[in-house]
Amino acid sequence: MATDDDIVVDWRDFLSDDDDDDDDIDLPASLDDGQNSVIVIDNLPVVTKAKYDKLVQIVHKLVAQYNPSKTFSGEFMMPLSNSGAEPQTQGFAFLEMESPEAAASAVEKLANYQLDKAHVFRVNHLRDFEKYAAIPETYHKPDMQPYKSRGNLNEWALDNRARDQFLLRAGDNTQVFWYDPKLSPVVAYEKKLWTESYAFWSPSGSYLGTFHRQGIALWGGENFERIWRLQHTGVSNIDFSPCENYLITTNRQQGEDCIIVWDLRTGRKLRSFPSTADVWPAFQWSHDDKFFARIREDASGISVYAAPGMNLLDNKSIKLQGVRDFAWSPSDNLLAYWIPEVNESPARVTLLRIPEKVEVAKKNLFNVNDCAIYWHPNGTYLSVKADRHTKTKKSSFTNFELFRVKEKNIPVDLLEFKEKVTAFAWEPCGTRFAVVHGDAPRPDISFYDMSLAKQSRLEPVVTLPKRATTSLFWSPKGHFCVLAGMQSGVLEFYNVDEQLTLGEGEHFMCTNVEWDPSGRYVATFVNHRRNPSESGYIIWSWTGQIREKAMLEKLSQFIWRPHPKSLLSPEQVADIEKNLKKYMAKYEPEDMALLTQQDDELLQTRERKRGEWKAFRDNVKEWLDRTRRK
Amino acid sequence: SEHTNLLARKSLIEQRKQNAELEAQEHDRQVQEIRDAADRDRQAAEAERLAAEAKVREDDRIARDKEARELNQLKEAAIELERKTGRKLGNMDAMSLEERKKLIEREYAAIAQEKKSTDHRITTLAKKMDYLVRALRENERPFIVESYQK
Amino acid sequence: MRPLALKGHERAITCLKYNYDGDLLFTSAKDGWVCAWHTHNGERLGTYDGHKGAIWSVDVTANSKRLLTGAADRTARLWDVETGRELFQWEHNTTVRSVGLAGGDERFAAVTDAEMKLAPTICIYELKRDLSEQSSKPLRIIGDQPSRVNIVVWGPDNDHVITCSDDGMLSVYDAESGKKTQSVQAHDRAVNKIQLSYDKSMLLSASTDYTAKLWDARSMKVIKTYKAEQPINSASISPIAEHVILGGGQDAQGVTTTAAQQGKFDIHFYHSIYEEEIGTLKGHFGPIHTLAFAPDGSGFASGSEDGFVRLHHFDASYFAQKL
Repeated sequence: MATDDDIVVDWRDFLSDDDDDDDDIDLPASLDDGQNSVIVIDNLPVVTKAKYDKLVQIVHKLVAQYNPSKTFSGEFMMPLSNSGAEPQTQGFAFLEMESPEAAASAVEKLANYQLDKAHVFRVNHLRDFEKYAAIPETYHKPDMQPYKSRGNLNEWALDNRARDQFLLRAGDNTQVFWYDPKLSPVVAYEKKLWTESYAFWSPSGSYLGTFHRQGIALWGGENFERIWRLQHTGVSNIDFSPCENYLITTNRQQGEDCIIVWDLRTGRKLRSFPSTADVWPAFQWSHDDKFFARIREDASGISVYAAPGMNLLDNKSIKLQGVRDFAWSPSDNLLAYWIPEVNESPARVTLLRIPEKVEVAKKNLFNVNDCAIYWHPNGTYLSVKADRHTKTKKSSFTNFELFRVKEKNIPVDLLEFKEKVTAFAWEPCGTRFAVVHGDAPRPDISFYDMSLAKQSRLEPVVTLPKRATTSLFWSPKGHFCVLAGMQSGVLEFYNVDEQLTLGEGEHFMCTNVEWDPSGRYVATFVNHRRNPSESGYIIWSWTGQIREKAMLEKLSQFIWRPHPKSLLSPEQVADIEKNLKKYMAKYEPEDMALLTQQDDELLQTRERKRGEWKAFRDNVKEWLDRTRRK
Repeated sequence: SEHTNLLARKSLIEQRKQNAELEAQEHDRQVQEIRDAADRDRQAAEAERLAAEAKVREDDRIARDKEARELNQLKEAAIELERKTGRKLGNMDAMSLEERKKLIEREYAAIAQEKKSTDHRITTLAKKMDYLVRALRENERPFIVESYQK
Repeated sequence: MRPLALKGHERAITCLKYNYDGDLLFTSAKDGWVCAWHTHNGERLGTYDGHKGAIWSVDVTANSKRLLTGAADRTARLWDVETGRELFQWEHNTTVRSVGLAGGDERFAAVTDAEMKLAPTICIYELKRDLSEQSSKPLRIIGDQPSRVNIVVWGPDNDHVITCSDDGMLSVYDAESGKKTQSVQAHDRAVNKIQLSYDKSMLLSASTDYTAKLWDARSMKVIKTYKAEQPINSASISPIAEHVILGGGQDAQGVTTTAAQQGKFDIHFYHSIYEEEIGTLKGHFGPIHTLAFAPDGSGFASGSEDGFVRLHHFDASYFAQKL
């Protein structure tokens, strides 16, 4: 993620404060090497003498693997307390490792090690305690702050006109608008220098996040009050967990605090991870926020961590030598991963159930160059696009392995293309998908329906020949798809149900196409970096009519605010659909009144302006007469 | 005298003879002229007839060409329409120009009508979609409040 | 309303000015020419030759006898309108960016650009009827302008000059004392042109910040703001209809091939009172640099980077509709 060069740095927002704690300030590390080798393990079981040696043995064994010699013979101290009936350990121990590097490695690897259900290690460098020692002995009672209700962060989703919001960032100004196509966008909130680089919404739209040199600030509520300040110097990327419980940040600085996991209920840092791999997102979250996982940097397997304990699941990574890529199902705790061909064993795609680590489906693939994993947004299907080559490696072609994840035994359909495939997209809330295939600049677009497969064979429902399409954008509600040529800016609004082009349009040089969460509008915009003179946005209805158009200097972001997931049951939805007439009868007059009011307002404004103008001109006339007489 | 008379007579006769010859010549010439004129007229008429015939033939040819072109254009238009609408317009080859024209016109009118009704349908659909989203969100509101209070 | 495309210049048009009667139009261009045109048929009356380098500014006396120009050759010159003869020359240290005649044509102001260590200046000159008495020295120099001054005009009282500059300011100076009497941060970006209404009561400023603003020229209070979708280089207010015209477009280097198709070089009509856009007019192939309504409001002229001057006469329907 690039930083915005034309943004004036201002982090007063980040620092300025009403509430508090400048804790996490980095003190310079002690240079004492001896101390740098000493680590403290906390959260050990509390044992009496009887089990003391056993525990020492276990800890020695655990720690030994991080020493270069693979043994442990350093200083070990596990203080005993005499306060009880018999002496017992206090749940922590000091250990001296062979080198500071070994100590660092032990701190990292043993952090959150789960010894058993009740004991998850906390491991620190001894030097870190110096920081804590600097805290005054006597405890100062903090001034009690009156309890501040954060309010319902989804309050905005209660809008009585069911309007959507979008965020615009142009130059150093960030604005949040209410959008109703009958009227012009209305500013809900705006601020200059709100962010140093980007602004972003959380997955359900509860938070707005801003980037600052010192870290991330999260804002919410009607007036976008600051909810959390997450200190992470030089932060460059962020990733929310799907249920908004956690946030992962990175500063790409390859240190121990390269990646941090934050708890958004408390605003606290849960754990940090070092990283040398420049991949983002560094971790992928399971749909329910229970697990997050990443491929080990040596590609020897996948490490799955459990939230909120932050411990490595079963204390070990899943060994999958050479694993290339993986993705969580959007609806279940299922991991799909693929491993390329090694020696004699073919490439394979596997579906693994977590936390049980049970393989529920597996498919071998031959002559594969590369794979891409596409989960259906509902987790119903999994598509694995395999770029394959012929035995002679002379020509390549593309296969789609389509897993029917929710069906018994997970059957797999195969779809083959002899030509180049440039895009694939599942229909959200549906059974269809679309593929862009054939030669640029005018490839074909085919739509398929998983529910219409005959003996695992799929035929296109419809093929649209020779379109200037490079990307596909399905409505979040399915049924409609925007076929976009990101080079030419040519847009086609296509109704897949009726195989009917609803509308066509062009937004020259457009860089982004964004559906609003309700599927009513599509926004396209030109980022000023691509073309400063075209910088601006257009809002289209889903049928392809222009509803709003604005040229904006230095436009760099346009993002619709995500809407919280629907809490209505399918029965309730069906009921509402059935009774839509009733609602229409209510909304239609409301809309009419709104339009009339708008007309009235316009007329009033004009009348006022004319009045002011007349007064001004009368004054001018009088002045003219006066000066002429002179 | 006799001789004089005779001479005079001879001269008269010769004169007459000459006159008669001249007359005959004149007559012949006139006849010839009339004949020539008639010939010319005939030739002109013939040329005119030929020209007229050629013109008729040429007009015919132009008309045929034009019709062929129109027929062809209509056929192409029909093929284009068939491609666009996916509807068969029947075998054009058997149809006259007028029939083809009528058919195409009918088809265009049908397309315009369809476009109108499609537009109307899309507008209605767009409205309905908006109402549906609003109705769903209206019904969601209590749940959002409830989930917050929890 | 078919416009006449006047082709007499080879390079970008920098300035255009109608004379008091509106029968003549004077245009200046980067090619170093000044042309005079008959407005009724678009025929060229003549040219004024002498400047070496781009001519940035042109003004004409109320009696249409004399023409004043300012150019990149560091001179301001006076011409005889009818004969095309050069009458006088004022030399400066740097490019003369703008010239403006005071009411009564007895004084004029010239502004110069910054160059090397020289800051922009405003020079006030006296203009003699009898040129044998004419001095080449200014009455007053108002120096050390902080930013490039693009236009100078005489205020409604004829005692002050008003300038617009690259830093977005509008400034008012007492021409006598040289004191700055008022200064407004009028725009976020450079103000490219200012123009007074024909009755001198209103001032219209055109800015790269995509807006034109209408000011009470006596108090320098903003009255109206006209928002556009491209940088504005010039704007003019109709003396008879409730119309304002705006023109502009991106700099040459920022122009994409489709900029013309995208309507960036259109002339935009706004309702002067309601501040709403009411129409556009296509024509130019490059950014518009200068616009002016005819003194009687019967038409207007536009000059562009494309080297064309377009002369527009409104037809009857315009008047039927708008008056």
